[in-house]
Amino acid sequence: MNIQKITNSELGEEMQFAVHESGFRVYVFPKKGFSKYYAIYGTEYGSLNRTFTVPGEDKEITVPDGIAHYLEHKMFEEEDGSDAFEKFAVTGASSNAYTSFDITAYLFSCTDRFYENLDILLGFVNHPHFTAENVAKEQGIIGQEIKMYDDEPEWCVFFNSLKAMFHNNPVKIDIAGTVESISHITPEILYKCYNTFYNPANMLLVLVGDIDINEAMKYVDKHISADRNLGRVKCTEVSEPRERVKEYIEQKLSVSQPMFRAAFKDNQPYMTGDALLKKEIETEIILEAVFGRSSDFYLDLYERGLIDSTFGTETDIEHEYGFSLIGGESSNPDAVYDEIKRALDKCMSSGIDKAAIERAKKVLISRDISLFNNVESMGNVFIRQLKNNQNPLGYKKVVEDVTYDDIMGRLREHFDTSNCVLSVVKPV
Amino acid sequence: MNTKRLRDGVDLHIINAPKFKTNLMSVYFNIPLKRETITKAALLPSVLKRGCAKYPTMKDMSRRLDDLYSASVSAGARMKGDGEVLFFTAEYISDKFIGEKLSTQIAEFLHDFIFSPLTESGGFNSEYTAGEKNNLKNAILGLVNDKKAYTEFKCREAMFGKEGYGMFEAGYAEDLDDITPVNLYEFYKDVLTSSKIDIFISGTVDDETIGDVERILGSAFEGRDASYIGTTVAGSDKVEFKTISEDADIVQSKLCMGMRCGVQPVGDEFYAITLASCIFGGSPFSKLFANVREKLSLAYYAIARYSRFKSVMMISSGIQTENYQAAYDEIMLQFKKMQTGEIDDFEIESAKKYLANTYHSLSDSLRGMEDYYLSQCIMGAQQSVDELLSGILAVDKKRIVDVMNKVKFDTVYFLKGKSAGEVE
Repeated sequence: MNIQKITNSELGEEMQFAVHESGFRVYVFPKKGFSKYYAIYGTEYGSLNRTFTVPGEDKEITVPDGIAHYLEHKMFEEEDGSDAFEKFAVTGASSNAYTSFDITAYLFSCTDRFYENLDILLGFVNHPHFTAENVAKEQGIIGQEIKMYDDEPEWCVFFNSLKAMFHNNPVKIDIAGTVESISHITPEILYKCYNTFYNPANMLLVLVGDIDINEAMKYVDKHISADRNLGRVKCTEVSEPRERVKEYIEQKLSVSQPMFRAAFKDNQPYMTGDALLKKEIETEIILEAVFGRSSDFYLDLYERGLIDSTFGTETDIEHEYGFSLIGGESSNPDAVYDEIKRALDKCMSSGIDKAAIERAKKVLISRDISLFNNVESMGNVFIRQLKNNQNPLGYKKVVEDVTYDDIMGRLREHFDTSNCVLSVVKPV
Repeated sequence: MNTKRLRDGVDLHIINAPKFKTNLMSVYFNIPLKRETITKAALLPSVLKRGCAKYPTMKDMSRRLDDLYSASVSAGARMKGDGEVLFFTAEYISDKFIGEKLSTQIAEFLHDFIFSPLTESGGFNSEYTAGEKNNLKNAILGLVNDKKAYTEFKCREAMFGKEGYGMFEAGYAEDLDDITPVNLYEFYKDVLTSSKIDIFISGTVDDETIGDVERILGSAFEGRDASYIGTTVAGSDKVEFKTISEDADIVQSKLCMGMRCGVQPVGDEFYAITLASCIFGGSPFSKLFANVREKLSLAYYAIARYSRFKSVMMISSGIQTENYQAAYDEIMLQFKKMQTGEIDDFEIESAKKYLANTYHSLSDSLRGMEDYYLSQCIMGAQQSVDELLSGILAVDKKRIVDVMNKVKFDTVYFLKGKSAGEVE
C-alpha cells in the first residue's frame, strides 16, 4: 500500500492518504492530544442520483424520490434482526448517518476502542440486508421525518427557493421524498441502488484522531474486496436553463413573522477541484464583504429595523448544483429584497470596496483555522472537499490567490439581479 | 481548571488546553431568575452589542473584531436552574498563530464593551434600546416558529408557572413597554456591582496572558458580597398529573411529558438518574428509541432528557395525531419497566459506555468545558469530569430502580396537529 502525506506546518496539521486496490479512498488526519476519534464513511450518492444505469444492465432507470435517504435508514438493519446501533452500544460509540443532495455518510465518534468501531462501521455498510418486512417498517418512521420538516418554516423557505430557481436540476426535489414516493420503494430497487453507488471506488473514508493509517487499512482489507471495483459512478448531466423558474414563491405557515430568502442560482455546474473551490471562495468573499456583519448594508438595514440578528448568508456550491442564499426574518421581505438587489447592482457598477474584500478574506481564513478545533467538523467538511478532489490543508492559499478581478467576474456571473428569486414564508 | 480569587465575589478560572487553535475569554454575571428582571436580562446583551463608547456603532464593533483576526463576541442570557447568567464570550485565534498578543487586545475589547457602554442622559442610547426592544419582541413571539421548542417550553411553564423556572428565557413581550433606557441602565449598573462574577480564560494560556486578563479585565470589577444563586430541585412528593392539549395548524403533532424527579444535583442519586435517563430515552438504543420508533414505527424521534439543576425529566416526540394514545401507552409501558427493573445488563452496560464517551469528549470542546465548570461552581460541586463519571459507572440496577420510583409525571403537553384526513 502506498501511503502519501501532505503537511501544513503553519497549521501544524497533516493528512495521510491511500487508495485501496478496490479504488476505495482512505484519508487520515492525525490529531494528537484529542480524546475523540471520528470516522465518516461516505458514498458519492444522494437525492440527486435518481436516474442512472445499473452496472451490467443497458437501460437507464429512474428510481423513486427519497430512495438514497431510505437506503441510509435501512443500512443499519442486520441479518440477525439486530441493528448497527446495538453493535456500537457495546463499545459506547455515538453513531449516526445523513443523506444530502450528493453524499450519503455513516459516521461515529468515540473516545475508546476506535478500531473495533471502525470494524463495525465498515462491516454494516458493506452488508446490506433488505426484506419486504424491514423495508415496510420504515415507512412510518420516515413518514414522520418528512412531516416534521413540513412544519419547519426554515426548511420550507429554503426548499421553496430551490423550486423557484431550478427547472430540471433534481436539487429541487426533497431529499427524503414524499410519503407517496417512498411507498413505491422495494427491496429490489434498494439493492439496485446499493450495488451501483456503494461500490468501493465510489466511496471514501475520512478518519480524524490519533489514528494509525496502516492499522486502519487492515480493516479496509477485511471488509472490502478489490473485485467489487466498478469505478466512480459518472453522474448524468442535467441540462438546466439559465433562467429562473419564477421570481417569487410564497407559503403560509404558523409563524410569528415572515421569513425570506433571496436566492441566486449557479450557472456553471460540473466543475471540480481547485476551480470549484475557488468559485465557492469568491462567492463567500462577496457575501461576506457586501452583506456580512461589518458591511454597510447590514448596519444600514439593521438600524432601519428591516433586518435583525437572524439575517445571514450561505452558499452551497457543489459539482452538480450551486446556489447562494441571503435571508432571515423581516416584517418586510419585499423591501429587503429590493435593497439586496440595489446593493449588488451598485457593486457591479462601481466595484466592491477593496478593504471589505481584505476583511472578508481574513474572516474565511480564520474560520478555516478554527475548523481544526473539532474532529467532527473536520471530518464533515473534509469529506466534501475530498469528494471534490480538493486539498483540505490548502484552503488558505486558494483564498489568498483570489484576485479582485476574479471576484468582480464572479459577482457579474452569479449575482444576476434580473434572475434571482425571493422565497417567503408568511404567517397564516 | 485552576481558580484564582481576584476579589471578593470575583473569580478567574483558567483552563489551559493548548491543543486548540482558538482561545475563549468570557465573563459571566450570576443573577437571580425573576419575573421583574428576566426581560431586562434578555434585552441587555443586545443593547450592549449595538455599541460602546469607544466603538459606538455595530460597524465600529465588527470592524474592530475583524482587525483582531476576525474574533467573534457572543453575549446573551442563559438559565441555570433558579438563576441565570449573563455571558460575554470572545473567541479568537491563539496568539501562536498570529505572532502578536491578541489576548491583551481581546481583554481590552471586553473591558470597553462591558465597562464603557454608550450612554446618554443617565441611560443607554435611546435609539438602540428601542430597536432592540422591537427585535426582542420578535424573538419572543418567534418561539412559536419551532414547534418542538414551543411544546417543551409550554410543558415546562405548565409545570412551574410563570415564575422562576417556568419562565421563558427571552422574557415577555408585555414587559417590554415599561423598559426605558434609564431603568435598563440602572439594572445593568446593579448587575455590574452586585452579582457574582466568573471570568474564564481557556485555550493556550501562559502566565503573561493570565496577568493581562487580571490587570485589564479582572481589576475593573470591585469586590462584592455576592454568591451563586442556589436552586431548589423539583420535589416529587405531591404531584398532580395533568394533561393539556392545544390545537395547532401543523401536520405533525408534538408530544412533551414533564416529570419531577426530586434529585439533588450533587450526590449518588444524581449518578443514578443520569444513567437511568440514558437507558430510558437518551441514546439510539434506549427504551424509547427501540420501542416507540424502531418497534412500533410511531415516531422519528422519541427522547428523554434530564436537567440536572432543577431535577426535571422531559420526554419529547413528534407523532401523527391519531397515534397519540398508542405513543402515550408505549411511553408509559417503558417507564413502568424502568420502575419495576425490567432492564437487562446489556442496557445498563451500554448506557455506561455511552456516557463515558460523552463525558470523555468534553475535553475536546472549550465551550463545553467552560459550561461544565461554570455549572459545577454554581452547584457548589467540585468534581472533575473523571470523578463524576466514576460515580455513574458505580451505579447498579437497584439504584436505577430506586431513583426511577421517585420520578413522578407532572404534565403531558400535546400540541395537536391536523388529522391525517385533513392534510392535503
